[in-house]
Amino acid sequence: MVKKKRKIFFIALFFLFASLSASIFSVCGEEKTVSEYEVKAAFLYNFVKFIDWPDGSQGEGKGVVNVCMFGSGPIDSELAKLKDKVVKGMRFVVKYTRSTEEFRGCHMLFVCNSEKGRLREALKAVKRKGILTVGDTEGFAQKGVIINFYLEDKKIRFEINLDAAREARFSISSQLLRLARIVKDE
Amino acid sequence: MRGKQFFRDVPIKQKLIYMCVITTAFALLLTSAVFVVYEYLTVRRSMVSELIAVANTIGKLNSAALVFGDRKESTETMKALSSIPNIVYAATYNREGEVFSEYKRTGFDGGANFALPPGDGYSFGITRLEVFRRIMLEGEAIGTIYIVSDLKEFYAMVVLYALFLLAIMVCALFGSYLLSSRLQKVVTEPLAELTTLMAVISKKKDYTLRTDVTGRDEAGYLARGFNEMLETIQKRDEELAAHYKRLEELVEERTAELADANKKLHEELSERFRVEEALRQSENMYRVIFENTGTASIIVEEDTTILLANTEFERLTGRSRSELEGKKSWTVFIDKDHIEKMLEYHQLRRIDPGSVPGSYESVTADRDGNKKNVIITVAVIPGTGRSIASVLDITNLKRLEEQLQQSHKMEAIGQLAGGVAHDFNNILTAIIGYGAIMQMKMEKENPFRAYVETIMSAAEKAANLTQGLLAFSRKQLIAPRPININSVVRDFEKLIKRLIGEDVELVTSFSEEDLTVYADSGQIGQVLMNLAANARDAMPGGGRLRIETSAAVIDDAYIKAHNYGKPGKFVLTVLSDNGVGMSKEVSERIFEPFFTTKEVGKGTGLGLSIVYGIIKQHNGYVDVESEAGTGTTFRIYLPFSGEENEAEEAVPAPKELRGGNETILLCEDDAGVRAFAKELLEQYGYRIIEATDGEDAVRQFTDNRDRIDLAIIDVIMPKKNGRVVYDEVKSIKPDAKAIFMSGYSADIIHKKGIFEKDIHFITKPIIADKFLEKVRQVLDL
Repeated sequence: MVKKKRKIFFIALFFLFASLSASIFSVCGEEKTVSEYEVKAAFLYNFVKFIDWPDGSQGEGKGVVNVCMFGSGPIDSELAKLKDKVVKGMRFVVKYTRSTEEFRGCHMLFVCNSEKGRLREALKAVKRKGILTVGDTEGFAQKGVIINFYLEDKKIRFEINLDAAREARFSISSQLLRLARIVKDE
Repeated sequence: MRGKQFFRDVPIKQKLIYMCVITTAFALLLTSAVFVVYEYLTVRRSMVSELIAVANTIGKLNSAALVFGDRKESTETMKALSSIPNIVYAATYNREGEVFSEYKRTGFDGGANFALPPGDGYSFGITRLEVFRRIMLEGEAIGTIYIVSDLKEFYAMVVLYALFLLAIMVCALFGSYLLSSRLQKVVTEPLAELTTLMAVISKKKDYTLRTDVTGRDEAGYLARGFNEMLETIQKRDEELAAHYKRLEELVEERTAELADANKKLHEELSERFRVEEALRQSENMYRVIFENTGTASIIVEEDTTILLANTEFERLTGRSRSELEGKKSWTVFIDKDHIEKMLEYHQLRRIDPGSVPGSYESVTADRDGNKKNVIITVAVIPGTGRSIASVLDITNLKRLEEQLQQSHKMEAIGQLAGGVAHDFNNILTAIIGYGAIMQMKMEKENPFRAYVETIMSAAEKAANLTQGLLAFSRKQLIAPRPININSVVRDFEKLIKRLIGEDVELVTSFSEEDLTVYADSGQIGQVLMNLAANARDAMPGGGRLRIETSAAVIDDAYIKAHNYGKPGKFVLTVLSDNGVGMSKEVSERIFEPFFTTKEVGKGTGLGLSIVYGIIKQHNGYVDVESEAGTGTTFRIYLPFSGEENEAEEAVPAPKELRGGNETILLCEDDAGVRAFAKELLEQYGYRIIEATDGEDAVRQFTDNRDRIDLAIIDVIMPKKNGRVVYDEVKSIKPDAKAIFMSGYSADIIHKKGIFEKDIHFITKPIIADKFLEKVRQVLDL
């Protein structure tokens, strides 16, 4: 029974993954490769698994991971594909925000390159709110974004501002840390 | 099987030890096996679970790297496996089943070409343990980890276990051995005791011994049983001994009887053997006698079939035994002319055996028709129809008999001739003597002189006839002296020529060697004449007679070739003719008396026999060699004397007959001869004392011994013969002179007719002048 269940699960996972990768292809893409955002979307999804949110931060909207998009970019479409996926027993929900007020209830905030100018405002808004900030613009991490994507040898890698993470009381899996480049505030 | 046999043969002690040790070994082995299997399984399980744990951990550690595709980090993480020495290879596979990251221990040359099975699992191979686990992240499989561990450590541990167990086993077995060696005594000691006792009993045969093994176990039971058995055996032995003794006595009795019987049997047997042996010996003896009597013998059936023949009979008939026995009738061998006589004899014999003599003469003929004179002696073998016949060959005897008869005939003729000659010579002496006196006293012109001369010549012929008679009877007196044979031949050459006639040529050849022989020349001359006459008769159409003389030596080779002769020097005279010759049969019998090939009346059959007689008398040999058609050769061997030829006695030239006045005793029984001799001697002046017989002669001589100068003694006289008279005269007067008178040789005065040298004699008939001359000659000695 268990085996059968597992098998069905795998097949489901496979389909999910397949559909996910297909959807990533068209959304949040700049002039770079389409697959870059696809990967970044998957990363976002996977981060959930290695990061523990501070207690009480998810008081509202339990059973849901709200991924909020600040600004817009090619990643949007990719993220949309991940909608309603379950991770850690929670549903993956993507929200699009225009203003900082809309950050309430967000668990993760992806600051698009387009919102570079409003970064300080955004960071202020998320402070002590238990919102994991993620960016894909160079220098974001040093400015207080907890996780920031960058490219190295054409591979997507990410850096983590540990101070910011601690300040936000996130506990990040050592595994994840090992994979990341650790940066500090400027 | 061998093991089983071996186990049966080892002592109980050993058996017990073996049993203990084997049991222990078995228990230990079983325990060890269970232990080993259990350990093996446990270790395996723990190894597997350990490796699974490791895989899980590594998987977990790799999950972030896997999720975020960081191979480098993942590889780095995998290096942590180097702290576990067993792990030789590890790999992570991503969700797509591609190798994501690898770990290889240095020296491992395998690869990741491993078809990843779905799900979790492991494989425990011979050299390696493989584990593969899905890497789960938040309930989601994000990849697979695959780890390979080698089993060196595992096997090292297994070996260690094995050694450990072995050590334990060895110790345990040794302990078991020691323990069982001690403990087995409890069982084996009573048994050993029993065994020893048993050995002693079987060795000493002493069944009074008992074992003192006690106890209520099987050994004790066995001991009691053993003792009881011994008791029984002892009792039985005693009984047996008694029985045995009785039996022995019985056997002894029987043996004695048997020995007695055996002895009797043995005696009987040996008696029988003895009889058989005697019978066999007898049989053998008679067989040997039959075979070796030297007489041809046969045993014949009633129907005259030959049953047995001996070697002599084979020889007689010239047939082998196998040709004779059972096949021939013995009448086959009898000469045709004698069969009737023989059958008549046997018929008579059958009717009345007493009516005929046991043997008879007959003649056999062999297959070539040669006849043999035989005496057949026949005896009937009692109880059978068979007869035994001995055939004695008397052919030679017969011939000897004939020869003896011949010899007797010769002897008779000799006797007759001698007797006649004696008287005849006396008569002739008177005739010739008085005739001579008459001639002396007659006037030359007396017309009766012619008559007297005729009387004289007739008397002389009569004298010659007497001589001839004496010669072939070998009774004639010979007066041998040393002479050369050449001179004899020369003397007779003329006579021989006249004898053989003009048709036959005489050739002589004389050897210059010394050919002196001691012989009577007249006799030898007669031999030559006789042989010449024979040669003449062999050459009726003329031919040549050769006479040769030579010296010869008779040696052993000659003796061997001719079967006679005495080695020594001889004088050989050969007479050969080229006449008709003669056959071997004739030449073999040529010297036999009265054997002649000449027509009746042409020869006497004495000629060559006289030759033979004369030569024999001279101690010589004569042989003949002849071949029909080529001629005949006679060889005469006379002993070489070597004495000087007596100086050819100066032939006394016709000298005056001398007389004398001496006194002569004249012993002569014949009155005519005595009267003639007396008158003749008295005419020449001698004084004569006459004696008429031997006794008278001796008496006269005794009476007148001093007066008598010479005794003239006739050899043959009544009462005492001349020899006896002479011997007595000699004993009276040893130097007495004597002259014997005789007409023929009597053995009285000489041997073989030859006078002893100092004896003088005058042959009758007395020739006056020769008589006077001899008397004078002896008186003058």
